[in-house]
Amino acid sequence: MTKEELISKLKAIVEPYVQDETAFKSLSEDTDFISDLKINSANLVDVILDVEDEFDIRIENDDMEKMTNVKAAMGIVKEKLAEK
Amino acid sequence: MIGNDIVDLAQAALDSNWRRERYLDRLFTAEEQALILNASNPHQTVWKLWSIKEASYKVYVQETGHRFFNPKKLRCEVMSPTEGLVTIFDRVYNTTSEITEHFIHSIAFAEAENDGLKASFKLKVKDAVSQSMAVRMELIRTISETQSIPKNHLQVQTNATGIPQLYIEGKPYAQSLSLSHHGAYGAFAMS
Repeated sequence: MTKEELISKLKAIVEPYVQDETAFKSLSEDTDFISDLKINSANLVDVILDVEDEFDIRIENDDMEKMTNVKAAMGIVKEKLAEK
Repeated sequence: MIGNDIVDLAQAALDSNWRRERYLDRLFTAEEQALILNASNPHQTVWKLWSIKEASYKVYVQETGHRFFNPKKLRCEVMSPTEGLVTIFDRVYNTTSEITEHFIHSIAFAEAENDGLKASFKLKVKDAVSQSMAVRMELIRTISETQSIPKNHLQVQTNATGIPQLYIEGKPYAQSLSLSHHGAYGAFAMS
């Protein structure tokens, strides 16, 4: 999967939980889920579970701990896909 | 230092399905999950525990600057229906919660007692950015009234870690501040 494909899949996953549409439109690797997209932290769990379902992977809590921005999420998904 | 968090119970029911498979296990320790499943009102218990974790996390971030997302590492002990203790690594915070039919407003503090300023209120605006602004305006209005300081001398800014700070005539005010909004409600707490 290319970097662009991965970003676009993540973008589709986070969209229902985003509360700052302006930040969402300019989403990049540097976008933070909480401080930029204003995703409610209880919904960050939904993002994690949706990522698990979409890519058919399991993310441990120690990995989840770092998944607060697009770049970290991409890194963890790539790592988990490589392990498959 | 102080932290606060408000949960609009109707909004929480719309936003999050805590009965979703694997969901509770991401947020809550085995002991907390047992409290929820044995509660007479599980929905209220989920969001009470969540709000005390959020409020405590806000104190922890002010104290340490360390941000992370792993709610299970925030361990709640329930002392009474409205009082709790939250342990985050080697730190322990006291919490109190105001529970109504519509919302739960929790405050967490590192000291043994807290007699600071706190408030919860209904918001007229709906989007997150306007709500955040409305909570700041309400805080400024309250401080202006209680301490007789002109509103235009008061300002709230957030630093790089997202921690809000009150300024009086451009000078940072020493007290710890925490802001929150969710659904139709806003809240703040100051120690």
